[in-house]
Amino acid sequence: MATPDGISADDWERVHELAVDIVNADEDDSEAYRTRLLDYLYRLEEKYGELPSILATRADYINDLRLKERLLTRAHGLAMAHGDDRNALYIAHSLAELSIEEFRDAKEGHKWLERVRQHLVQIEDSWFAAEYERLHHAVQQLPPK
Amino acid sequence: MVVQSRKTPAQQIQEVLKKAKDSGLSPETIKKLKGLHKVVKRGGTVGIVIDLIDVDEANAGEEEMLKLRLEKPDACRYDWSPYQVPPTKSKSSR
Repeated sequence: MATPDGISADDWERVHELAVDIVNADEDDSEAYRTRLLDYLYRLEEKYGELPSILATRADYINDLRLKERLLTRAHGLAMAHGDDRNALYIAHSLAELSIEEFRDAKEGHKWLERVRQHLVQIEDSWFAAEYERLHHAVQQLPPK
Repeated sequence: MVVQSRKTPAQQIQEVLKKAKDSGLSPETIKKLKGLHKVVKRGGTVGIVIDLIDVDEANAGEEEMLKLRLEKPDACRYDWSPYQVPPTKSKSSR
């Protein structure tokens, strides 16, 4: 099936294949597949333009945390603008996780968790509901800034 | 770890992810599984019709991304362009 923001099933299938290869490969090969995936995402962007699925997937596979945050924030804005609740949920979850587990920023963590909660009203998803609970517990353990 | 196939559904990846966390697999492996999980979730939905755009929301972060283009050109090798679907209606006109 196509992504919620309109990337065709055939085009997304290649992203899926590379994501599977990354998981299954050993460390060296995995890095090569990661590079291939990032290159392929650039090609998709040339074809489709700046879409939430592309920006957010790129963010999921890069190591620079600040760049990841910026890509995800941009992707969330686009998803919200286009009423793409499903992508908005996935991206808000990535931002909540990033804020809480990597930056240990309680304020940002609460902000993105609240977005996750709001998106869960629109999109029923037990996995993300459980993730909300887990991250909500985790953010309580962080010292306030 | 269970080797993933292209047919692995999101639910099975979620179970593997949970087991990976419980068994203390490396953060790198967990990160890869999380990435795959979201790729599968994104591909497993029907397309939505996009006919309404909130222009302010669509432009959110654009300035940041332009700055990024200057700071890290390698991250923006494509021709950076605004969202391709032209705005048709704003929220206020809904």
